[in-house]
Amino acid sequence: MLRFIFRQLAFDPLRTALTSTALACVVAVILVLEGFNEGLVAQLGDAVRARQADLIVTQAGVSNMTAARSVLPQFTRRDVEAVAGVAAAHPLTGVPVIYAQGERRTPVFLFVYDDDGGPERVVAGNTVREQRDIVIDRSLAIKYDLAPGDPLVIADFEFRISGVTSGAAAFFTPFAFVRYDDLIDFYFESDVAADISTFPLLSFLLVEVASGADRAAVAEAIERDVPQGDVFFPERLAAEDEQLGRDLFGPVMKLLIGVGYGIGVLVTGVIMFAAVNARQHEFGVLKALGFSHRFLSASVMLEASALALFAIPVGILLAALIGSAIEVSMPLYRVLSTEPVPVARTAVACLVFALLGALVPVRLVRGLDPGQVFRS
Amino acid sequence: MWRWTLKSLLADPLALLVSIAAAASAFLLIMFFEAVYEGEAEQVVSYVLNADADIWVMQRGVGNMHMATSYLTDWKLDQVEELPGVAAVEGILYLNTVIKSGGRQWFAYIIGLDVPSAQGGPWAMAAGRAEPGPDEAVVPAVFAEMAELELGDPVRITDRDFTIVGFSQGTFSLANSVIFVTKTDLEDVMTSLDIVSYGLVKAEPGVNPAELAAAIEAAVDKVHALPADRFVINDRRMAVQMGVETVALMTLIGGALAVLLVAFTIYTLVARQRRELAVAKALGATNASLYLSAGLQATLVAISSVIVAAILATVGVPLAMALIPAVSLKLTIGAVARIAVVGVLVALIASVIPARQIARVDPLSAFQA
Repeated sequence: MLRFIFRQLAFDPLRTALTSTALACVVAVILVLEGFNEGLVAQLGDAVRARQADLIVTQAGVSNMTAARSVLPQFTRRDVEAVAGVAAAHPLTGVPVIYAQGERRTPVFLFVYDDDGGPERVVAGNTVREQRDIVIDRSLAIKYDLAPGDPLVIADFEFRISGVTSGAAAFFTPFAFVRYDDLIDFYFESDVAADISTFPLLSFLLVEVASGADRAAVAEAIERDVPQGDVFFPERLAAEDEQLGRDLFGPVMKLLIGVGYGIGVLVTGVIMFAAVNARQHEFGVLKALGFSHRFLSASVMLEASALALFAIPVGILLAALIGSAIEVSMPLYRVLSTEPVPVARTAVACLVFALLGALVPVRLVRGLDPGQVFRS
Repeated sequence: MWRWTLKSLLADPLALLVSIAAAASAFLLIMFFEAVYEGEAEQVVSYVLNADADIWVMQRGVGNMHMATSYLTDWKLDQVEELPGVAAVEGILYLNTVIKSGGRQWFAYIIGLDVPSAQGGPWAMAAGRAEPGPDEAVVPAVFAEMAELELGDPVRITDRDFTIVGFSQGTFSLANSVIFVTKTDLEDVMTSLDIVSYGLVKAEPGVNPAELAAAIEAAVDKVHALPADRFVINDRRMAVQMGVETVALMTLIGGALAVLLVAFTIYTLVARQRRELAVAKALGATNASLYLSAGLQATLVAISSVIVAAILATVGVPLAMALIPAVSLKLTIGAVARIAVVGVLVALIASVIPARQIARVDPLSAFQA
């Protein structure tokens, strides 16, 4: 039987290649959609994890980092550092701004930091050293053709790009990093310096726990002693942001992935049908030669499985290549197209689609009259 | 040749149907991407489109609302109000943050209104009151449906709970759902005082908004004033820039799948007719006419597929919106026309492989079988 299927597939290599490539593309499209969804969510979590804190303090009632406004009173840093077990509390402020160049505009999430919480890895130039230095994400640099040394004007305030970082983006928004001194200048040069309290001066505190201190106990003590703030383990805050991402992007991504799966079922079924339908004549000959319905039906099902099994790894590879190409050309996006769960889900779905798709041609083969071969 | 092409296409209706179904599936996928893009692009500017303003006044250096931060001291709006040609001015405070209600969290634009509000409040209501009082909020009806909220339920903005007193319509989008509270409450949330984010200016009848915007910028220090149409364009442009790459990517991937599927279906169609084609060649048909035949078959399949996909999308889009109210979808004739043009081009490219095969068919093979 296997030899027979192999011969069937090898008889018209172009048709076999087209069929399995089409199936592989269906797999790849679904995986890229899944990967896009996974990437959007992962970026939100990574934005928290990349700050590398033992604990993170937010404004009371705020449980997100990237998309939420958190404003802590200035004295909170002193209060947190007074808690036993806290080695240091590093301030971090998040300010959403718009970068405009000509007619193009891009939202940028400005992270203002002191010692910790800055860019995780600088891939070109240097980190912030001088006054008005700014480190920008690679996606912004590529989009506007910016390089270290170039000026970057935000709300009429001119920064100088000292470096370019990578992987610092979430929520379709690239991040940029500046120091506190420049934030104060940025505010003073703007319109409402008379009431600087309007602007967020302190959003989060990145807590460094003293060596030997128990993180959970320190968190509990901060929660108790600093009522104006909420304290989170970074992994918990990351999970909150990831959940927000799922809530926000979930409906649209579910719709697109659902449509992708639905179309995958249709396309796979159609491909399998077309592949068998085009060979009705051959099947008629085989029936005339005495091959049983059972043998031919089993061979069609096995052929469908073989094509799917060949298409799945090719589809995964294709999805990985497309994902990498997207990440290289548009680093604002992360496409995690080879995550185990979506890959397993898609692989099983592809196999099921192929087998379901083969059911119709099986019926077609069953109903075939061997006599027609000789009548044509 | 034309007649023969049509006859051979219709000779096996099942195979033709299958070919159209396969290609239509790929086009349907692209249409859904387009519908998501168009729907969200429209919804993302719903507030700036519906707010009753001829001119928007904001902080210098700011040119739009979506994802922007703008602060003005409120006395600047008093200055604006005194300018000739200004009929009315209303200041709104604006904050984008995460709200929580009914066990769900959502990214939202919070609009702080001076109550009673004549210009900046909700423009259509599904239930309840349009104007919030102290500690009250008006939330989008779609969000209420998703989170299973009733009037009187709480919604949390940072550390403050508000009571929901109204469900607004047309204010929900994935990118910026709009929540209305009083300006005083939002000042409290933002720990700000005597600040507005934007000034909504109504011009006297007959006054040119562009000229009035220029007059406002000249008269009031460090503000940016834009006519409403320009402000909407800026907002849409930024929202579109944020989403266009995503949709372009998806469309590209869907398009690549469409190329393959059309190539596959056309190949399968032509492969079935190899013997007939050999006979045609033996009877004197030229390669050019056979190429033309393959191209015509591909075009017919592509156009039929786009029509089928458009019909399915016309049914599927409202269905998807009913099932997933969080997603705004809009299928435009322009998008369908664009896909149709691309589809035909794709089909023509896809027909090259079978056409080359036809050209290579040995006329003698018709008599060898």
